[in-house]
Amino acid sequence: MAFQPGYKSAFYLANAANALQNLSGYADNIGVPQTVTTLETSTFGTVSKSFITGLTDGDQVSMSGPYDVLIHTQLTALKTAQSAGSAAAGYIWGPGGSVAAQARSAGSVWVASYNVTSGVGGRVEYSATLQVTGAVANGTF
Amino acid sequence: MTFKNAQQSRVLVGPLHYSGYTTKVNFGLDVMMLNRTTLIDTAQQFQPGMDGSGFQLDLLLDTDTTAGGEWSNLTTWKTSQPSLLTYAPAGLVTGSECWMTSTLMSSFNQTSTTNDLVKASLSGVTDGLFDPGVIVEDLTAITIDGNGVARDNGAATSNGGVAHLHATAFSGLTNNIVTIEHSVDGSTAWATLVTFATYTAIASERVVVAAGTTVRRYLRVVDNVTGTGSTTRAVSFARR
Repeated sequence: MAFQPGYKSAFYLANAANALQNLSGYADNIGVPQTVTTLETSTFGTVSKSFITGLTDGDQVSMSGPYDVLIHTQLTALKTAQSAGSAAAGYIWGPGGSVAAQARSAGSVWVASYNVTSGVGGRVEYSATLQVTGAVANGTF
Repeated sequence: MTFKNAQQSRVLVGPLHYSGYTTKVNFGLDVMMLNRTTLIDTAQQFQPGMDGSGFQLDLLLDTDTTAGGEWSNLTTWKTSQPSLLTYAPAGLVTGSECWMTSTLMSSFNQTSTTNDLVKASLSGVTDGLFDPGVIVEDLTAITIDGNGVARDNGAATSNGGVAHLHATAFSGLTNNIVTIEHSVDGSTAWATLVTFATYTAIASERVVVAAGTTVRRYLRVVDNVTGTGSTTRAVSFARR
């Protein structure tokens, strides 16, 4: 077993020029769900429920952390680009880091929300949700 | 990486500097995600739809009703909308990024408990999406005419923009006229891009530069004061 501390995780997101940017240093909390829709096929005569799988993915990646103008610039530029009809932005997620043989997930996302908060006594913080569109590919670095 | 202490953040609403009343500010944008998955897809497909932005301010409430104060500003905002708002997460230092919005207050709650200060919270939406801009001039006390420092925005743009003026103090002067000028090289052939209305008291104004207008690379703020006294103002600009 090779459990990994969270600080090793790596997250990359393309900018408006479609160049992947390493945002690992700008987030301290990332959630990357992968959903598979389950469709119930239970019928009369069987006590246990049965299911088949349906559509996959379509989740929202959540990320948050200390605010930096780089994050602000990248997310607002992506928002502007997608409003102008650009393609979705690519992302890569490495829960155990980006070294060879570590787990890797990749897909495409739209900026669905972006928030900035300033609270007395704290740091300026941001949070964003990225809507996954299309299939997520799982593999290794 | 230059992370920011929230104590650096600043909020201006209309002619009032809200930072000294604000304990928390949140701004956010949301984009509707429209599901375009069809029978031939194996994974869900989405595309962006309409967007919008909103805000929330948590405040300590100064119940003094003096004109120009917090209570006056809040109650005026409620009945005279929208109000322009500039939120600078990293502060009002020139060149800092800011959110520039025309805001509609939809909720104004006041709370009072025996063991705490009287507080208020506001929330609302922006009329149109926020504009990501930069601070061209920090809150500065002006006493004489002056051409501000040329601010390099990196490159010219060609689709107009939005300008905000927040004049939070005014004393003794007859009036002040603030303009934003632009230049291709930061030193010659300055031309007027934005002219704010002449003001004779604390004031605020939002000016939209028409779409399709070329905005040159360098900007500067020009003050034309009449009389003897002082006014404090901040200016920001967002290119579109």
